[in-house]
Amino acid sequence: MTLLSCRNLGFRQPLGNAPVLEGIDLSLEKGELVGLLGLNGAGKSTLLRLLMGFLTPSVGDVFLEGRSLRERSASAIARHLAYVPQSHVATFPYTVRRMVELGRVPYSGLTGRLSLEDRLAVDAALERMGLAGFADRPVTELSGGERQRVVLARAIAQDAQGLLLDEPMTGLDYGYQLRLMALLADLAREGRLVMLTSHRPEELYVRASRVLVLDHGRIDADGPPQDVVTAQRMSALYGVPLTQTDHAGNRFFHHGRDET
Amino acid sequence: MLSVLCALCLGRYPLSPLRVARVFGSLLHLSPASDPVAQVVVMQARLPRILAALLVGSALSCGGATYQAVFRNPLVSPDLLGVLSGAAFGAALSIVSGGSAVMVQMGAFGGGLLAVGTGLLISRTLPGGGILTLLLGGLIGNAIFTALLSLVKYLADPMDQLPAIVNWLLGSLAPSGWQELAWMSGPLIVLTVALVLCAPVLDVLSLGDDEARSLGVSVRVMRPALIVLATLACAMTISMAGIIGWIGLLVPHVARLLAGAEHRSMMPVTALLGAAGLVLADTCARSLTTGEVPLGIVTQLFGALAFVLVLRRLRSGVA
Repeated sequence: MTLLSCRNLGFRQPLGNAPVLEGIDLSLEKGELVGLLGLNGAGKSTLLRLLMGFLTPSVGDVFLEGRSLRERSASAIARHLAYVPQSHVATFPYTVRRMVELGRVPYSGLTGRLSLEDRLAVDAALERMGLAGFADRPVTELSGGERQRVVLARAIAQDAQGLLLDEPMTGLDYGYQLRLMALLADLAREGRLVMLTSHRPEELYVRASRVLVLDHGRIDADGPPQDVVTAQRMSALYGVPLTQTDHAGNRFFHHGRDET
Repeated sequence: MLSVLCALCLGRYPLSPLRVARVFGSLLHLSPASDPVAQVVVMQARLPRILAALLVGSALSCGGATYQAVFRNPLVSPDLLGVLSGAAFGAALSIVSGGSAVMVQMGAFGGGLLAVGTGLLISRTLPGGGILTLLLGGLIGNAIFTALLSLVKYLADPMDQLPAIVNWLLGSLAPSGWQELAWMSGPLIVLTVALVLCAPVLDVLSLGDDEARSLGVSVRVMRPALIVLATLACAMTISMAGIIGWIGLLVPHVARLLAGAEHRSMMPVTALLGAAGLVLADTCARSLTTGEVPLGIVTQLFGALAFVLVLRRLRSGVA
């Protein structure tokens, strides 16, 4: 079932000349794990922010379950879509629990007390992200990876059918990168739409069910990872010669032309 | 409570707690009115001033906490968007044009709002629309009104008006009487309570624009609304007591050390601490020397010193 879609979506900066994005047609289904590849500045973050309703498109429209985001209130969007930014800047030392509780704001309202259901959702999210033991620590004392887990726990507590993540693997250690991708695959399998921007085609090849390539503000490729994440396309995209080796469901890229 | 008691007793004419209690007793007809001197000191001089300090202290502190959360910067004070320079300009203009005390107050209030309004309007014309554009707009508004203040100072009569301006800028609760309290207390209490009630919104806004929006909070509506509330509160305190530095910056930090960062719990503490702190500062201002030290100097001096202690605790990872 389609959760998010857009037709002929375009965006340009208020004073910019060249459009950041143009002619984007997409239909994103529940249960998909969508990876978004592209060079720095290709418009990946802008696309996510348009889909979240943070930015208003210059052309076209974004539809959430068939209704334009322009017609929906911020809290209605928040009950459908959760967002994980590239990095969370912790200004004030809120406790981990309070941060995750904020994920319930779309339901409880800003001044409302948390209901039993809200509390259960918060506890479950803390548990799932392995943060139960951290609940009373201030977020300012956490490492970047731990903080990322807190923001992810907040998104899980938000109980949204769509989860959009902007380069969630930046700054995470290798083990946590792998665990994060497994977790995102689980969240998609449970029926959510999970969409992330990434600079790691090999990881998307294993985990994603669909990969988009964004190039100069347009969608250059859209399909299953086997078809999109190929040496030929990645070479063209990143401008480096690559060869690929497939092994046990993985695809590895090597820098340099295949000599054989 | 303790600071109010100290404030009632201490001063150029020290009173024992017993005499103060008797004054209140006689008011409630519990004891005969036998101490006219104490009655005048308490009822006419000290009590209105203490009540004014309570109101101004809590409003300034809550305004400061709100500004810090909205601008996601714990080192921000309520004058970030130019409310102080605007108020100073308004007051100075009223003094130069020979206005009455009430005119000076109105000038300060109007000037403060005008400066922030100018800053916000300028930021609307800039591309972008995040915190940075707000700050830049505020910076420009601030600069304009600082320049205008300098102009008024330059044109002011150096024998008579200039000292009045300088004196006003130093901040004091000395002119606070019952009449002033009567019409200032209502709005100040409403604004302070509103700021305390809005505390949970601050948690969300302080996460940043995208995250706040992803949690369903309309940043475009809530942020200006909170800025307006906090600015109104600060402009009122300025028109009542002149420029009282550091309270709005320091008190929220101390409250965070005591009650945690969550605004729902720290905001009421901020209000109480601000009230108690300013009463103490004002008591110092009028009792330390035989004359009266302007309140703004006391809060500035003690505030700066106290901030060192707060920062040391913050840096050592206590909060």
